[in-house]
Amino acid sequence: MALAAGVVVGHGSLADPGLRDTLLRLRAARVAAAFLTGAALACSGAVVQALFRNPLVDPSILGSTAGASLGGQAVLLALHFLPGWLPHLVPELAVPLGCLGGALVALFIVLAVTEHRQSMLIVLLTGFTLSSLFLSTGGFLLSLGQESWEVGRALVSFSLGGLGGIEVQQLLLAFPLIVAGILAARFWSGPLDLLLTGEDEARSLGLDVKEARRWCVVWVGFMTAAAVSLGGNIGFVGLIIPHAMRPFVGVLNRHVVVVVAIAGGTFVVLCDLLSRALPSRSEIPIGVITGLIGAPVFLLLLYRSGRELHRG
Amino acid sequence: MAKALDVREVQVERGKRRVLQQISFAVEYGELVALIGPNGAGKTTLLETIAGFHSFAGEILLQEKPLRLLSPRQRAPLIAYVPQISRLDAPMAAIDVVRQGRFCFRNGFGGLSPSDEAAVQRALVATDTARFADRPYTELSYGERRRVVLARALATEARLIVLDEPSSSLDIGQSLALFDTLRTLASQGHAVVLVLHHLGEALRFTDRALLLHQGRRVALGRTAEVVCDNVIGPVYGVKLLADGHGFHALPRAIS
Ligand SMILES: Nc1ncnc2c1ncn2[C@@H]1O[C@H](COP(=O)(O)OP(=O)(O)OP(=O)(O)O)[C@@H](O)[C@H]1O
Ligand SMILES: [Mg+2]
Repeated sequence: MALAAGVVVGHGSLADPGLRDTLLRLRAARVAAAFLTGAALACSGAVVQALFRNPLVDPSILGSTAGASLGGQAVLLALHFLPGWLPHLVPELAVPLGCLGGALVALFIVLAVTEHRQSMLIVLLTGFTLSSLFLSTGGFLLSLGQESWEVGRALVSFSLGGLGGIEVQQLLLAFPLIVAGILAARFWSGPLDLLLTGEDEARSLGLDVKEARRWCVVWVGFMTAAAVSLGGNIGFVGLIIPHAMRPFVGVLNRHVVVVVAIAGGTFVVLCDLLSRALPSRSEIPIGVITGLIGAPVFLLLLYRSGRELHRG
Repeated sequence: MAKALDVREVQVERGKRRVLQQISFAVEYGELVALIGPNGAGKTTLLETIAGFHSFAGEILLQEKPLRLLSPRQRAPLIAYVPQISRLDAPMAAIDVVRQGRFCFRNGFGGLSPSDEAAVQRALVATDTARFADRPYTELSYGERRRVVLARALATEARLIVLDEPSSSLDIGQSLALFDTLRTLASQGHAVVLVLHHLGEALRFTDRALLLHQGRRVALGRTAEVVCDNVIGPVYGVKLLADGHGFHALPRAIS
């Protein structure tokens, strides 16, 4: 239903038969992109929360969202200032590849830390520091980009997140990554369920904890990169969707990862709908909408689960 | 005869402290061995080392296979470990906790086979936990949780079972049922090693006892020969008085 509404609602009239086809095609691509982005973010959120045994983390905590974002920005800048630099790549492919590169660099660093330090706290702090580093670097790039109004605008809209102007090539690139990521999350959900009992006990029950952690991190990297390349940095989805779903599906990840992917996709489609339907001169960036909804909802969830958090 | 567990000259360090020194002992199939000693003696560390948690010097053989060479997945079907305190703190159904015991047998996307489910059911029955199998683990009492974690270990059907203070926080009825279950398992050919603080339980229910003190093996032998005043007394700093029904411990100064 949300999907259907997504195709129908928006600026521009469907009455004109000439424009109708194009508009519908554009909007269908946009709805698909929104759904995929939300599914990937929510699913990686659930995986990361299980992996770190902490319901308050999401993919951005590993630095992968910021890394992907920075990678995308860097490529945008490079395309503009060094046009001959990436001659064989069309921009639609270059930006996603930049995202993937950025996310993988972030994850590589986090993984290297994980191999040598067992402490989750150190891993989380590394992710946090990386995030800040990438965000500052992104800010630096942004000020470089201000020299050209056009590039500055592209960078700002990319970092705020936006699903407008999705190209079919982008969808074709992201789709297999995200579907594979969700299937992988389902595959690793058994080990993640075992991790609920702590690393030592999980190991004594037969889990190779290091291997599980490594693969989960890699797949989270792929999913966040794909999501960021489609929709930019859309916040809070990975945090609140798993939270909101667990009361209904329980804590077992083998149920959570699938339900959360569907719910996350639907949530972002609805937010995108809102961003187009709200009266405003231009579209409100979707990252702003998810932030405006996500932050208060998250506070509410925190408040309600306060007693449990206190105990755990 | 084949040994279920063979520990040779094992030494373990935690942090900078040497917590276990020169520990050697072996356990055969069919016997119940008590691990006793004062707080901090190294009992938990010894069990955790056998379960593969710590690096160690020396050699440990699980069912004749060197522990060091086993991957977690190869090790899990050989040894079932019941922790002193489980770190599990998730509101999952008790039966799903017990199903975790079959993890090492699953493949691919992780469905359990009918024989896995049968093992889970047997473990639920053996621990008298079937009644609350569907209730969330975190809503059970501490004694009930301990029995669920015991059921998870039994569900592995490993022939070597190590348990850390399994009878603490169980009521007397459940304690008796626990020792009954363990004895039955031993008579079916399992080997059982368990940490006990209650020396009366050790005397009554176990075949042999290993006494640890400050990380060293102080005594190993038939439980009745280890749990007696001249061995126990100096280690715990107490005087054991045996009478017709059992024994009492008194502070050593009084005697
Ligand atoms: N993580 C750790 N780091 C350093 N030393 C430790 C650690 N855990 C335990 N120890 C030390 O190792 C020694 C043995 O501890 P262990 O837990 O094995 O004792 P225990 O015999 O099980 O005692 P209890 O009867 O209290 O359970 C103690 O001196 C303890 O202080
Ligand atoms: Mg102990």
